Amino acid sequence: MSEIITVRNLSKSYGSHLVLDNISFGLEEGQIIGLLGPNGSGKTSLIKILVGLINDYSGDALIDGNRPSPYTKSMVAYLPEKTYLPDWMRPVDAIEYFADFYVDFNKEKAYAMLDSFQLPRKQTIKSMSKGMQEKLQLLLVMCRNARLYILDEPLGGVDPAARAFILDTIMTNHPAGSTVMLSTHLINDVERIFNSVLMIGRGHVLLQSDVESIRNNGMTVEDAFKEVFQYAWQVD
Amino acid sequence: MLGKLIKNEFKATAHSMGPIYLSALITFCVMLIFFVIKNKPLMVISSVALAGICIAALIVTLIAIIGMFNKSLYGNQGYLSFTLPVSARSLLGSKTIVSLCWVVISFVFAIAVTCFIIFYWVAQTSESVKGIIETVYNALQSMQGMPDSETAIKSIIVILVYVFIKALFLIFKVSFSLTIANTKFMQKMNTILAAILVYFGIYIVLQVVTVLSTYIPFYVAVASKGIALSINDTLIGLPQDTKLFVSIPIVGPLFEIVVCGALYAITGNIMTKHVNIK
Repeated sequence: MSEIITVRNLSKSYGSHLVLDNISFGLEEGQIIGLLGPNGSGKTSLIKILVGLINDYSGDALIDGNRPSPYTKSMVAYLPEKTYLPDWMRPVDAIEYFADFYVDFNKEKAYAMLDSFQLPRKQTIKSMSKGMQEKLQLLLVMCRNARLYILDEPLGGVDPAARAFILDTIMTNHPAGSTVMLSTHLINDVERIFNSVLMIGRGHVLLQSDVESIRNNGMTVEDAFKEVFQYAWQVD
Repeated sequence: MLGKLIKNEFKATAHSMGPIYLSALITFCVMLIFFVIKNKPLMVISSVALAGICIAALIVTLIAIIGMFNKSLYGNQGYLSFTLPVSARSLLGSKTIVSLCWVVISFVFAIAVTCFIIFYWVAQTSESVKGIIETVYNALQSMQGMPDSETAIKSIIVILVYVFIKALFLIFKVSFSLTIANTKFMQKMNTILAAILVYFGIYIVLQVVTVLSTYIPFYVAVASKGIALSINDTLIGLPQDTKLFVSIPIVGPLFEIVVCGALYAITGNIMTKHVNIK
């Protein structure tokens, strides 16, 4: 299988604070990958570099062999942890907007999901609750027939029932053969869906492994996470 | 993709600009009602209101342009804009075109409102539309030194081109300032404050160049016998007794056109390579 994400000697700092320190790794296509690490470990920075939101870094971050560009953006469906739709938009406007720009966007599916999610078609984003906005953003991303889905903390700050709903939506809607990269620190809820995991912390890749190997060592992903990130709670 | 970006930019900005023009339309209708019922105090109030809306339209246009670059590119909406499968230069180009359209619309609106208010008050002394036009025309003709209609049209075109260049220059300066304010060098500062500092920095530098350009005294002159190049009030190719109506400097606007091109290229480059969305 070919690598969908290739990272080579990637470094990124904010002032004197180095969040990614010369990291390198490759991720094969067709997997569900857990990007794991505690808060502030650099997961979001890595993702923002991959999707083209952070541009001042050193090293290479490649998607399908290309640096972030209109070409890579056309194949990546990205769900940020922030709500980003303009206040004036209504779900119908957002669907038309995505249909305008992404050739892989399935408009019919989006309208069907809008109804099944019980989101009003003509209510403005401004008057929606945060939960409704997040549902709409998830819908927009999962109605794309993308090669790579990059989902940044989709489970953060939601209750267990919502988590199950979000996971179910991701699992049932991503096309076969596509790659899903999901960042989270809530491992217990999601470890069953991962094929492989990438754990980053203190600016380094601390573990890259397929889940089967972890289980063959008699551990769960959560056990591995605790072992890898013990340092975070240790007093120097 | 540029067409789709422009369409969506218009949709987005119409939400802030629409209410202004809608309120102008309502005021316009109310003024007609007051005219029919011949209530002079209400006619005065509504005329002042329309003039106020006209000024508000110019201010809201400027705010909408700043918002279009700052909020939709470098705010949370940047997560949407910068992950679209389009180049940074297309994003910049679409926003510049839409901004320019709104500036032109607000200028046309301001001229239309001024003309309407003049006609509105002249209409009280005439009973027919033809009578109103004749009254205004005669008033203009009686003003000393007024050009003939052909020269007047040429003068208006030259002035409009000049204003168009100035508007384009303003938009590029705004987009450049906001983009610089969102690079890592200035991200520790408040974005708007950083943008204002950058804007005035550019303004001072360009003002110096503009002042220096006045030492090269080339002008486009609209005169009673045509359009000509003038140097120090000397018309080239036209008789010296020709009456001069409008004289616009050439070097300054030419320099501004060159700077517009440079700012477009530099801003696009910074957006692609140096901007971080917070």
